[in-house]
Amino acid sequence: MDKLEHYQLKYCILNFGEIKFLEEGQEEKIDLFKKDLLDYGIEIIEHQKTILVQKIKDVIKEMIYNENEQIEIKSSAHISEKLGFSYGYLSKLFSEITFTSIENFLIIQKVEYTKYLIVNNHLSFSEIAYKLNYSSAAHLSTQFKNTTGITPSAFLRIIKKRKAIQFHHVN
Amino acid sequence: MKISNSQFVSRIIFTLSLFVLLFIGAITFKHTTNISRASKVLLETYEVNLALEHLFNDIVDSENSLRGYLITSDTTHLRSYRNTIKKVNYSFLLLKALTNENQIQRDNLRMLYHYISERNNKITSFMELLPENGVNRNQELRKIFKESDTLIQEIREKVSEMIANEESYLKQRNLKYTNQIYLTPILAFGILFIILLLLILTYYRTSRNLEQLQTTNTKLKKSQFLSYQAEILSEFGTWEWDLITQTLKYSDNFYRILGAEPQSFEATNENFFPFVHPEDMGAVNTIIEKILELEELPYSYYRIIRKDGQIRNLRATGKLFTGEGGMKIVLGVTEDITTETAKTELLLSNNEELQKTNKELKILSESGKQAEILGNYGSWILDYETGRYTYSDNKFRLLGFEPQSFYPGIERILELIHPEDKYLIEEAYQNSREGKDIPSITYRIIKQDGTIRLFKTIAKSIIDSRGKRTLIGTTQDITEDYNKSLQLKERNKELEQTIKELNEFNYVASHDLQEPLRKIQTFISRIKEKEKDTLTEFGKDYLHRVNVASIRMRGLIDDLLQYSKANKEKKILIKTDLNKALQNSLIVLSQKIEEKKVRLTQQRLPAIHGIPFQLQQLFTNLLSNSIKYSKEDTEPLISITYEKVIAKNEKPLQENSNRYFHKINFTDNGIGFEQVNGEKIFLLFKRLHGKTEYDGTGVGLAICKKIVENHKGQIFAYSKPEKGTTITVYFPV
Amino acid sequence: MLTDTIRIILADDDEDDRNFFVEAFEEIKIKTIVTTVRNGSELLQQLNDCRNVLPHIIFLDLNMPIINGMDCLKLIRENETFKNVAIAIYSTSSSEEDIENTFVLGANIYIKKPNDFHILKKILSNVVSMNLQFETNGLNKENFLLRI
Repeated sequence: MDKLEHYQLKYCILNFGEIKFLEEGQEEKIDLFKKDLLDYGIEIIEHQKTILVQKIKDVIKEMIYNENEQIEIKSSAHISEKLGFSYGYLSKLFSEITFTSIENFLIIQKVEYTKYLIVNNHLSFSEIAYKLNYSSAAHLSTQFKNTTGITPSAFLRIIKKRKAIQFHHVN
Repeated sequence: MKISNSQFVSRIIFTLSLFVLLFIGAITFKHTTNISRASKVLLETYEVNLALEHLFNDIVDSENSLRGYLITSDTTHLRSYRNTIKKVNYSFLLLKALTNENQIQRDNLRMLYHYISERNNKITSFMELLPENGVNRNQELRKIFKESDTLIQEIREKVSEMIANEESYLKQRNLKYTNQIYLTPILAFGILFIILLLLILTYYRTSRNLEQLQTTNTKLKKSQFLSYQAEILSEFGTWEWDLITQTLKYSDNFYRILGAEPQSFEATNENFFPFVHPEDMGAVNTIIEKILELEELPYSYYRIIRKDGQIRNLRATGKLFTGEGGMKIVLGVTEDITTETAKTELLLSNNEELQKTNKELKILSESGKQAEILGNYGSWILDYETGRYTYSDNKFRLLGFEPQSFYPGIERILELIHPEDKYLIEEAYQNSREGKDIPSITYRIIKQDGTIRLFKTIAKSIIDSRGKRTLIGTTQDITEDYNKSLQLKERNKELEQTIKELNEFNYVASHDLQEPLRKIQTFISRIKEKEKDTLTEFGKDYLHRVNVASIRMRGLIDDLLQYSKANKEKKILIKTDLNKALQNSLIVLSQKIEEKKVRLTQQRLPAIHGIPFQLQQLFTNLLSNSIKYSKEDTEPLISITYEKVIAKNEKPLQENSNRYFHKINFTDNGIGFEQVNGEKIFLLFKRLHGKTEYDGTGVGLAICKKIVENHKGQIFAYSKPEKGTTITVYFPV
Repeated sequence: MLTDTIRIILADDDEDDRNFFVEAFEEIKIKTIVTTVRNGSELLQQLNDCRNVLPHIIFLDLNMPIINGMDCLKLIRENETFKNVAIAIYSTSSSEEDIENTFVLGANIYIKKPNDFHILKKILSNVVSMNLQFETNGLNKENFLLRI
C-alpha cells in the first residue's frame, strides 16, 4: 500500500532529520533526499490543519467573490460560525500554516479582486469600492496602496504598458 | 419786419377783397331785381294781350247774341247777351288796371272804351225799337247791323292796334330781358373768378408766411439746442436776475457746473452761497453788490466747491437788459475755467520743460565730446558733393592721429583698413552713394603704430532742409568690448558646464552616498539588536548618537537627491489631473494624516500640462510641511482652494497681461512664520526652525519652487506666526 | 506544498548587502534556501544550469557590473521557462522612473534597500509570504505587483 509505505517513510524522515546535523559533507544529497520525502510526509501530518485552512480561505473567497451579496462586515464572526471553531483558534492556525493573518489574507484577496476588476471589468474605482463594501474609494485606494505599495492608477498604468510591450513583441 | 410787412399786405388784400365782394354783391342784387322786373313786365304784356282778346271775343259774342235775339226774338239770346256785356265790363276793368302805367295804351283803351260805350248805346236804342213795327224793323235792323258792324270793325282795329302796341312793347322788353339773362352767367362767372383769384392770392400769402414762420422756428430751435450743447461743452452756464422782481433763474448747465442736478434746487442766492469756496465768499458778495449797483457785471472770478469736494474755478460776467414796462434783467454767463486754468498751467510747465530740455541739450552737446573719449567712439560726416569727410577730434584719436591732423577722404581711410576688411568699407561706401542704407559694419583697422583694432560703424544718410545729402556716422572702437564679450561667452559656457557638472555631481553624490549610509545604518541596527546586552551604557549612548546623525544625513541626502532630480528629469509635459496627483500624495501621507488627525478640505482642481511625479511630489511636500509645522494643541486644518485668474489681477505675478493662471492655495492653521521670511523659505537649506524642534533639511520648499518653475509657474508664501501659512501656486493655463 | 522550502536567489555585487540578505532570511520563520551570486551573468548561468531547480523568487540589484539588473530582468522575462518565477528588484534607487520601468518590464516586486536590519527582515518576510499567497491561492501572477 502506498499509504503504508509513506507512513513508514515518515518515521525514517524524522530519523534522517536528526542524522542530517551529524554528518556534514553530505548536505546536498541529504537535502534532496529530504525534500523528496518531505513532500508526502508533511502533507499527511498536517492534513487536518491544511483542510481547515483551505476551508477558511474558501469561506473568505466566497464572501468576496459572491457578486450578489454584500460582504458582511463582521468577517470574523462569519468565519467562525461557518466552520464551528472559535475565531482565535482559526486565526492562530491560519498564521501558523500560511505565515499570514486571516485579516491580511482577506485584504490581499480584496485587493487582488480589485485588480481583476480594474483590469477586466473597467469598473470605476468608486464602483469597485462600493462592490467590495468599502466606505469610500479613498479608503480602498489607501488599502490598495498599503498592500501593494503602488496606487491603483499606477497599477493600471503599468499593466497597460506591459500589455502594449507584449503586443509589440507578438507582432 | 418782414413779418409785419407781409401782415400789412395781407390786411390790404383782405380789405380789398371785402370791398370787391360788396361791390359785386350790390351789382348782382340790382341785376337780379332788373331781371325779376323784366319778367314781371313781360307777364303783364301777355296778360294785356289776353284781356284784349277776351274783350274783343266778348264784344263779338254780345253782337252775335243780340243779332240772334233780334232775329228770333228768343229771350235766351238776350240773357247771354247780358252775360257777355258783364264779361266785357270785367275785361275792360282788368285792362285798365294793367295798362295803368302805359300812357299810349291808356289812351288806346280810352278810345276803345269810347267805341264800346257808343256801341252799347246803339244796342240799347235798338232794343227799344224792338216791339214796334215789323217792316221798319227789318230796315232798321239792317241799318243798325251795318252801324254795329262798323263799330265792331273799329273796335277790332283798336284792339289789334293795342295788341300790336303790346307786341312791340313785348319785343322791346323781351330784348331787354334776353340781354339781362345773357349777362347773368357772365357776371356770375366773373364773380367766381375774382373770388378764386383772391382766394389763391390769400392762400399763397398765408402759406408763404407760414413757411417763413416754420423756418424761423427751426432756426430758433437749432440755436437753442446749440447754445444748450455749447453750455455743456464749453462748461458755461447762464443766469437771469430780474432786478424788479428780485428773482433768479439758472440754466441747466449752471446747476451742472455747481455739480448739482439741473433745477434740483430753487435758484436763489441763499441756495447758491453754500457752493462758494469759503475764501471767495467776499468776492461773490462783491459781485452781487456790483450787479445791484452797476446793474451789470464785468469779468469776475471765484471758486466753488462741489458736493463731491472738487474745487472749480469760475468766471462770471453779466449785462443789463431793459425791456418794456420797466423790465430790468441782468443776463449773466458763468464759465467753468478750471481745465483752462490747468491747461495754462500745463502750457507754462511745458514751456519750462522745453527750456530745461534746451539747457540739457547744450550740456549734452558739450558732454558729447567727453563721452566720445570715454566711450571710445568718434563721429563723422560725409558730404556727398565734395566727397569730403569731417571727423570729430576723437575719430582721429581712435585712428592713432592727432585731432584734425589730415584731410580725411575715402582713399586715405582705406589705407588704414585691414586689407582683409577693405571690401566691407568699399561696399558700404558704394551703397551709401547709391542712397541705400548702411547696416552696422564691423571691421579691423591698422593703427599707425601697427596695432590692430576692431571698429564698428553705423551711419545714416540725411537730407537737410536745402536738399543737401550727407552721411552721418558713428564709429566705435569695440576691441575691448569684443574681447570682453568673447571672454563672457567663454565664461558663460564654463558656467553652464559647471552648473551641469554640479547637478550631475549633486545627483551622483546623493545617489552614491546613499549606499554607504544605508550600510552604516543597517550595521547600527544590527549592533543595536545583537549587542543589546553586551554594550556598555556609553556604547549605547554613542551608538544612539551615531544613529541620530546618520538619520539626519539620510534626510539630507534624500532631499538633495529629489532636488537634483527635479532639475535633472526630462521635462516632458503631459496632461495631468491635479486631483489625481493630490489623491496620490494623500495616499502617501495617509499615515501621517491619520496620526495627526488632520482635517482636509479640498476644491476640485484642474488638469494641467505637467510632470505627474513632480506634481505629486509638490503636493506631498506642501502637505507634509503643513502637517509637520502644525500646532501641538490644535487640530490641524488644511484647505486647498482653486480658482482661475487673470494675470493682471494678481499682484504677485507682476504681469500686466490677460493671461489666465490656475491659482491653488494651500492654507493651514499651523505655527506660521514672519512674513519677512516669505521668500527665504524657498531657498535651498534654508530653515526657520532649530533642528531639534522640527526635523527637516530645508530642501522641501526649494524642491517645490523648482517643480513649480519647471511648470513655468510661480510659488509664494504668506504667513503670520501662530496663525498659519498659505502657499499660493500659480500655473499658466 | 504549503510549508515547502522557498528557493531564493539574490544577485548583488555588494558583499555587505549579500550578507545582510542571507542573515535576514536566517532569522525569518519561513523556511528558505538562499543562494547569492555577484552579478547578472552569474545569475543567468545559475538559472540556465539544468541541474538546478528553479528558484521561487529572484532578487535583482539594479546597479551591477557586467550585466546590470535591468538587462537581467529583460533576459529572464524573455525566457518562457522562467515565466512563473517571481522577480524582485532589490535596489538603492527609489526613482519612480526605475520603479515603473522595471514593473513594466515584468518585475513583480520592487524593494528599496532599507537602512535598518529589522525592517529588512520584515520586508523580506512580507515578500516571501506575499509570493506564497500568489503561489498557493492561484492568484493571477500577471497582477502581482508589490512595492516596498
